[in-house]
Amino acid sequence: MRVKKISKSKKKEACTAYIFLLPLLAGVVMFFIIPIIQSFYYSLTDYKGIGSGSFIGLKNYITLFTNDIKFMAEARNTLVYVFGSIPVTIFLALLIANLLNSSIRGVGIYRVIYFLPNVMMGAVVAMVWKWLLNSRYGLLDAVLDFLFGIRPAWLSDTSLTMFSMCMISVWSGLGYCIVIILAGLQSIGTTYYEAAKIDGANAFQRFTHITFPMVTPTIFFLLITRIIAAFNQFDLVYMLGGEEGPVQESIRTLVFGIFKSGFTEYRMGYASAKAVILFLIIMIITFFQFLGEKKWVNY
Amino acid sequence: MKKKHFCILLSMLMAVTLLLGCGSDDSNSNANESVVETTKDSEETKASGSVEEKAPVTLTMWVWDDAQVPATQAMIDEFHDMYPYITVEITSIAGMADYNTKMRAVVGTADAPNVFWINFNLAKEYIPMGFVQGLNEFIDNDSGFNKDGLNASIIETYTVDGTLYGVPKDTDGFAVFYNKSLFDAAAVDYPEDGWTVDDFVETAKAMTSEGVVGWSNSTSDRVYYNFMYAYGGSPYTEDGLSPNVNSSESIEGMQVLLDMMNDGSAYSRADLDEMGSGVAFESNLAAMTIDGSWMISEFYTALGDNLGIVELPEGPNGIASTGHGIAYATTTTNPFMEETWLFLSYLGSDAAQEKQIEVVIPAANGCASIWESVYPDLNLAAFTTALDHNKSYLAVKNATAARSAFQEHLANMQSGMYDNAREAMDAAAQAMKDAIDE
Repeated sequence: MRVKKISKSKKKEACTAYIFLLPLLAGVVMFFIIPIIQSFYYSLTDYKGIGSGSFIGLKNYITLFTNDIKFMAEARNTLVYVFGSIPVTIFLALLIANLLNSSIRGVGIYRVIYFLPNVMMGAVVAMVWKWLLNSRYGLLDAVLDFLFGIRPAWLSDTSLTMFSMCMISVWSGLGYCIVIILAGLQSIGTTYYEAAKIDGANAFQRFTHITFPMVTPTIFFLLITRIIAAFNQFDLVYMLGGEEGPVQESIRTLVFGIFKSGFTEYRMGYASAKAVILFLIIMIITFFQFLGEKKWVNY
Repeated sequence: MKKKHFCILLSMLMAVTLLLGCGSDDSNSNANESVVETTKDSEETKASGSVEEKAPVTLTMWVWDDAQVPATQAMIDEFHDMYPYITVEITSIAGMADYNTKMRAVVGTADAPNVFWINFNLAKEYIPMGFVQGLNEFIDNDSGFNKDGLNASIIETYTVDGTLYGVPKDTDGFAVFYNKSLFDAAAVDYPEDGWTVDDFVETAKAMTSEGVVGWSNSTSDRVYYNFMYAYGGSPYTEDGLSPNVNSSESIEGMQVLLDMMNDGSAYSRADLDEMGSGVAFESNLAAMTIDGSWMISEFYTALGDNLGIVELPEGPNGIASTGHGIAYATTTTNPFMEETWLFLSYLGSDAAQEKQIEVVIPAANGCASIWESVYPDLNLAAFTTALDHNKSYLAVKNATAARSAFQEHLANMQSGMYDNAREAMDAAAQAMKDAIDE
């Protein structure tokens, strides 16, 4: 077995590199890694936010899975939200990005318009939509009433609230996905399209056999990041649902549950346990996504 | 070689910039060093009786309302004139949640503020923790401090086992706000002080018409508690350890309000979720709303001369208004206890309390009439009479969690999840008991 000797100059280079990384690494460790480990520790105690909590082992977790119907509802709502909004967002983004990839007049302006929602803060988006969807004075219901004579209560009818939240989320997330996919589309060489046109492929066939396969890495990236972001949805839930009530119960997500346990009821240990569970859920889903990567992503 | 040194220097710089953000200030340690000198000085000067020789002391004060900073600063300036060697610095932290989180982080450390605002919720958590300084000793030794001049109910809430833990700053109360123009349009007489709950229900029904609702309803537990008291019930038992929301008197009070909602003279939960009660009232969509004294300036800005105020309606057991008040408190680890007490004593005086009448109702009883003159056209006396029957509304333990439990069941009741108030309150009582006992 031969051990490769690293030359002295390479060692010096590596040293410099590490020194440069040190400040950032120190920050990451201090503000992310250590609090995460602390969180794992607190989830095994009954810490109340003040003083110190006493160690109670896995009691928090047992309560979570056997005695907490709200937690089950939160998990269910979060899954519905994730699978209800992300696929739609990415599918629409793919279509729209494809259209924006052409060189029609004013395409720059269209791109700006589609990206604008992403620039707005979550809380602002929620406030504006709260009034747009108001069943008495909102714009959407005014139009629907004029056209069809119906005024659905988008934000107070509990069977519609989840749909409304997904809709708002799609609207605001579309811009980001479009920009990323657009970048991915523009890296596809025109030679493929030319060859396909010569072979007599129509637009639809070009899309399914060239565009889509070539853009799968971008879609994979978007799926991973957007799903993780969707699992962390809090803004919309809090702004649309308030602190309690039937509306909040119909859309409450895992992160909202963490907020409620930790900052309204001051059961920090319990909230930490919920956070750990969320962490595990996201990790498992991301793991399965990476497993599937080899099957459908072409590099 | 030079390049490498430059690289190392650059990384050092980056590291320093990173640490600058999380450094704690050194002013406290300097101040601590000067404590020894100050106390020595003040002991000497106490003997000699002169105030001029004291070393300067800086006190830190934490508040959570930006709108009240000017009034607080005015108090600080007057206090500084009285005791030139004491300077007070205000830190205003926006939002209760942030304030609470920050307090919990610095409690017991040298960064804790010397004077801080405390409210009922916080008092229930902080006082049992043991870091709030009891003030009895200082009050007994200070002839200038008039405890009886401050609102009795607020004093009572901040007194635990006979020890007072805070100097009451302000108080609040509930009253009924009504929209004069809507009453004129419907040709209904304005409500008058001394009216009963039956009058209230009748008026709401009479005022409900196309596009206008009689009473905006409310998502607040305090509004509903007022009616519980009016019927002889209460949210908690005398000792504050168990819920009393399912006593027959409490349920009677709740049922009256639930009936109003069911027959359309008050907004349903769905309406409240889409548009808050305050917004509805300000937009001329609700003829009456029940809200606290802190809403006066907002409602006055929205409705101007059309705003009318009347006392809460009387029930079989009279009127009650759940009152809440902020107090000034200090920590047990405060190195400047003497100076802080001088400040606290001043803050409890009429002279100091007067300075905040534009924004809150002072807890000093002597300031009530001055407060009423802030809006001479409005019937502010409706609030000051409410101060006489201030009632408590918090549990003794786990108050926030118990409140949260009630709010949830209130929301469910308002959404029609239960057939009547009895079912709702039985469920609420169970949830509140679980929260308190945890």
